[in-house]
Amino acid sequence: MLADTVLRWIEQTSLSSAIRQSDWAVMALEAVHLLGLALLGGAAVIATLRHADIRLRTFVRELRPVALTGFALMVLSGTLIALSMPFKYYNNTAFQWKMLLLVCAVFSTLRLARKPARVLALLSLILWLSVGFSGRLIGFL
Amino acid sequence: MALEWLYEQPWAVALRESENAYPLIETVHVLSIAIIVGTVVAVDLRVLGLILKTEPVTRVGRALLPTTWYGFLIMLLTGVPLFAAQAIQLYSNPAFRLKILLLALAGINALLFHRTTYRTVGDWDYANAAPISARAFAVTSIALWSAIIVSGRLIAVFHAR
Repeated sequence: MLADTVLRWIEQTSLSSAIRQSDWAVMALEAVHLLGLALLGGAAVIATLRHADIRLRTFVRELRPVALTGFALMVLSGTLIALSMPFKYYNNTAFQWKMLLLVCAVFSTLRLARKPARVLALLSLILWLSVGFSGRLIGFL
Repeated sequence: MALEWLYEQPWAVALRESENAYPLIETVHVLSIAIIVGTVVAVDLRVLGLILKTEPVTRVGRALLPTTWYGFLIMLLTGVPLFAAQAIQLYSNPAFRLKILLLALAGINALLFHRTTYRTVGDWDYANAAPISARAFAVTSIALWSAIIVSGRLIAVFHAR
């Protein structure tokens, strides 16, 4: 099977085995993943809510680098964690859901950015919360 | 002992034995910390003169800190039941102890900032970067909140099974 071959190849790369065999690498990467979430999630919440005195447009513009830094940290750390144990994550139902929901959430958000609409905003919010919940569930399965 | 009393509360037992409630509440707990840290770090970055430079410091604080307090409320409302359900194990967990200590330090840091440097905010409200003492408080705040997140993640590593 193709998937099997690719996963086996990933598992045998030196990057994957180095992270897997380290006592602290995955833990550190998970901590970075959460730090990224705090930056991205915090910036997203600020850019969503209405605030006293400061226009939303100002926040959206000024917090973009903060949000992008958080997103980059999450993608980088998340990818490395997944690569370290490709079979475990590929076969984890919560991980499969998370990836599916993540793709939906990204598309929904990109569409929302082009054409703001209340229903789409609500859908995006629910999708992102589901990404977070399925992410938390990975460790419970 | 209070710890055992809390541990044996029916709702704590129910949460401990539930399959989905614990990860669900944990997810909300993590998101509440994201709200707190995201808003606090945004204010800190303004004090450091890295973002929102066109807005005065007081205005940024007034706009964001109410959201921080909502996040704090959600953090407590989710954190207390999470603690109660695992009270005995968490009490002796070094990462949990460190997290509570760091939370207290973050609180003291914020309080000290408001009681000292922030009193003169009128002099540097519109300045790009705040005085060195204010910037030191901001850097300490970012460091403490980052460490709170890391120690929170470490709780699972030390958790007695």
